[in-house]
Amino acid sequence: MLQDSERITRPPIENLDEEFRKEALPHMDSLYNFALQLTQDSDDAADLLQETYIKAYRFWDKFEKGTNCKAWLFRIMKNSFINFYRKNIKSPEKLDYDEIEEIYETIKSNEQNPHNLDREIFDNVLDDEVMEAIKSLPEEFRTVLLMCDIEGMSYEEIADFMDIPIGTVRSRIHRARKLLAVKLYDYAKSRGYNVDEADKE
Amino acid sequence: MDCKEFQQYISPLVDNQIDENKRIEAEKHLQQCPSCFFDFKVESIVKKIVSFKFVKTACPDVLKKQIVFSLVSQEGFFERLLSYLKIIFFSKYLRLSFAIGLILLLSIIISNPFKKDKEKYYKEFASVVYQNCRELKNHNFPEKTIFTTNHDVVKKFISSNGILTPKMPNTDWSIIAAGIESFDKFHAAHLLFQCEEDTVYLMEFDINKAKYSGYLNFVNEIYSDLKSKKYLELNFYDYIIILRIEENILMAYAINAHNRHPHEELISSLE
Repeated sequence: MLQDSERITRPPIENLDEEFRKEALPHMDSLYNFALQLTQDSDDAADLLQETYIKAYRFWDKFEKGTNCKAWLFRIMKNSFINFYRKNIKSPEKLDYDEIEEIYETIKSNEQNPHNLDREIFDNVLDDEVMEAIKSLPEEFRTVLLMCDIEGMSYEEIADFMDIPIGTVRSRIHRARKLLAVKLYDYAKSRGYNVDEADKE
Repeated sequence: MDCKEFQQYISPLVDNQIDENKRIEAEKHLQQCPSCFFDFKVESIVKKIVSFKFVKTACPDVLKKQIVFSLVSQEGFFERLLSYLKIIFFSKYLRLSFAIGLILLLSIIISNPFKKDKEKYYKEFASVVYQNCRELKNHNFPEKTIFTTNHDVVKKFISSNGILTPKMPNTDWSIIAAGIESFDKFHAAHLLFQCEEDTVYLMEFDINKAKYSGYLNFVNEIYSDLKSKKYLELNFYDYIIILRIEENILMAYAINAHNRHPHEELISSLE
């Protein structure tokens, strides 16, 4: 137990449990991003993040040392979100996956050389457009995809965290990417990318 | 591996989360099937785009500091309370339930069950006194009579008069009825016996003895309440019961409500 005098002179962060400081605090940026993705609102995200950390600190003794702390924090955040925030969030328009699949097949039949796609789409799409496209994904797809591509979590960790079978993780990631591909292709095209010109180069 | 099976393994292949055997099979299929190669390529590009172009928003420093501060504050009780309140006031739903809780709490305070409890104790006590007075009345005692539960007094009266009357319900205190003219402790009651009116019944409860009886709770309650008062008056059926503490003895006077005179005399002597 710290003496009061010590507590005043030390910076606040020094007063936190050392393990918590080392294990949990570094994930604040990732969790903030996740909160933004979940809530789509910076104020709600800040509240959700604070609530998550307060809960995590209170239940720190429940955390199994040596396991993935980030996944543990994500889980707390997801549960808090489900309990208090989800009701306020407008879900993006429902996507008709079959329709997307059709569009995807059309693109596939138009694009003869898949090796060109890299330069064509990657170079022509803006950061804002990528964010917009990700935002338009249904929440369950978006979460799984970001856990995988941004947070670098394994399928197993995602399955554990989302409480879904690993096969569902696979298919959600696959579908999410197809949905994004159609969106991004659209953006790249509208930004002046021209199939014929690209072929000439 | 055919196209249908390969479709299931595109994402694991792109994410490098496939076991070695499946990877070899999948890559073999990849070289043979342009359609599946296209799908694989698209997924790889999308992964690349998401990984490279997704703009991570850094958590603002102010928020980081605020959170660390709120965590440190968890250690103090008041800070913890504050942070709870913060959570409550940040969330609509919690805010609502908090308001309901507050209303409930207020209504409890207003209705004050504790106060009712005290009244219940007095009622119980009064009923004991009343019951004894009724029983004693049937005995046709002499007009100037003291009823007491004081053990020393009991012993004295047993030896001098030999009259032992009903026991207090649920206690080991006996009630003695005897005709006496004066006794140091009972001067207040004695005063009343000079009156022309009907009998005043007096009962004594030794607080210390009450500790070993089933009446401990209500005697304690009444005792602590009476310490700050000169006396307390209760109406119980056709009796007025006056309670008062005298040198650690709880005195209960029971007067027939119709007899105004001894009542007024008693009150003025107590005041």
